[in-house]
Amino acid sequence: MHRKLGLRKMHITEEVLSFGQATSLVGILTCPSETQSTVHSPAVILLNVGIMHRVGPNRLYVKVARRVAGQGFPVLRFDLSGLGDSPARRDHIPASKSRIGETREAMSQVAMSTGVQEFVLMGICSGANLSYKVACCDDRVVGAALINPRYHLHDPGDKSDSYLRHRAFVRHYFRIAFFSSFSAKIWSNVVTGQLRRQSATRALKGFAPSGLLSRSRVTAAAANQAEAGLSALARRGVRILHIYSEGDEGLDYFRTVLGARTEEFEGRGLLDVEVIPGANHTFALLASQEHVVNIVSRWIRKALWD
Amino acid sequence: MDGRQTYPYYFRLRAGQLFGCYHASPVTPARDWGVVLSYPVGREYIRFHRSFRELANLLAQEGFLALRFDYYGCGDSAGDFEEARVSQWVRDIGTAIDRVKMDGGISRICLIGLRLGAALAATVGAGRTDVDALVLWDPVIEGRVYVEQLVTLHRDMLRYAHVDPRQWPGLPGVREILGFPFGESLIEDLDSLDLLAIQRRPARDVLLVSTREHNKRAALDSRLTSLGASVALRQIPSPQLWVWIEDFGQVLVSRRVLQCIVNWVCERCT
Repeated sequence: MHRKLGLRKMHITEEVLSFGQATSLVGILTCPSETQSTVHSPAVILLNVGIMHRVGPNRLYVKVARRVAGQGFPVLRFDLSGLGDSPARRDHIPASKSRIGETREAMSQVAMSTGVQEFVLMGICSGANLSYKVACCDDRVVGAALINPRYHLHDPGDKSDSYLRHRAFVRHYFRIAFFSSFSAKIWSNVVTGQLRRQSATRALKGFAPSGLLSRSRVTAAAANQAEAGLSALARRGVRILHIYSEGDEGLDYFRTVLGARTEEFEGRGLLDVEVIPGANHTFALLASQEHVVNIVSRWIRKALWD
Repeated sequence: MDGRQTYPYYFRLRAGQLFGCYHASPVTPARDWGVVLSYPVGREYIRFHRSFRELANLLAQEGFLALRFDYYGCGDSAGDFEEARVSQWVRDIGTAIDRVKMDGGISRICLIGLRLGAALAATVGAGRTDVDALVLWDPVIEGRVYVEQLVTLHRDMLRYAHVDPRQWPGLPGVREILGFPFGESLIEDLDSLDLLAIQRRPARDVLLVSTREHNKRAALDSRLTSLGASVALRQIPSPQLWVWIEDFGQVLVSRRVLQCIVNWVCERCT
């Protein structure tokens, strides 16, 4: 069911979509105007950040959707079941499975609404993780823009999972404390007694002894898993963009797993990486939000359309 | 409406279209009351979105037609936040009330507002004759103080969050507060907002809900009472709702506060 909204200032339209088999998922489809649109461009789907609804942190998803639609790509941002305006499911399918299914339903709905058959998935944090998972299992996905994803490149059920998380955690706090744009601020807070107890506790926990598994064997195994996953996507022609905020723990996970192989993977076209200095997990500063919108819209245009 | 219980849609407005979500009552017959929910803005909007959805669901289960909607420049509605003005948002609430009355065939209105949404709702109520009940949940009483509080929180965020404003200086023409671009005109509007100065009672019945300390709460109670409103006070200390959180994976919904509001609305809106 569609209810249209006409926007006079920009050459886009926005309409409400309600779809889904198990429950009525709610989304906003932002489309280019009639004169700009083309069924040959991919559509973009934005996936929830944590339990935030579809507007995203600081309304960032709305900004991305309107900019990208203004460039000629339809964009759907919707709420997974139980989030935002979408009711919870009444079956017992675990969220890890249902969210993949709902994302695939969203693609089918956009295909029905616009005629588009190819998709770019995008999200921050859990939305990024989900984008990667669905990209791996649905051939309609031609690209994924992953913003601050964590623990997505290896199998979370693997026995190395806790080691990798711990190692990324330690690395994160060490980097933030000594080699980041925030180091001076952090030490100033320590010296003046203004460091938040919660932050200090978390940081100190990171330096507890880790497991007994050999470091090099674990990270090499994870890097191999990552390579296998990214190579499979590359063979299908799927482009993957990783965007990390300098302040995000995901960046340390990424470097823990891929380490020196990042350049190799970039050189082989398995992924694109952008690090945004001075930014936090959800881009609290306006200019950093604008920067993310620019990166994403430029990448979609360049990597997937030009 | 097609029989579903939640109905998201856009409704037209000359200055820009608004997104709204109806929560229809599964109870037959439904009450002859419509409830319009006025969100807070900015970061508080994001933080309390889930609470408002739950509140609307609870009200619908009690027989009310409830509408929550996004103001111009907010949420899914048209426009950019930096274009927003208080007068626009007041008009938006008025439009939402008119829609509920028209769509639901309803004659009586209850407004529920949180923080700045409460101040806006009170302003709307004072300018209309069809708002019979009003819930003010931790209302912004003095806009100037509200802006100062936001600026203080913004400074705290700069101190503790992993952000470096030297690398991302503010954008021209707006004041950046907690990730949102407040236009200078909006700041001026907020600075002159003062619930203690309203001249007409905003509703016959008013519920004032406080989950945090406010030194002007008693003054607001007196003012509303002096205007002829019947004011009920509920204090439910809930400091955890207001602690700074960087990661919205920890958003809380206070069932106690929501149930208090629903109980009062059920009692007064008959």
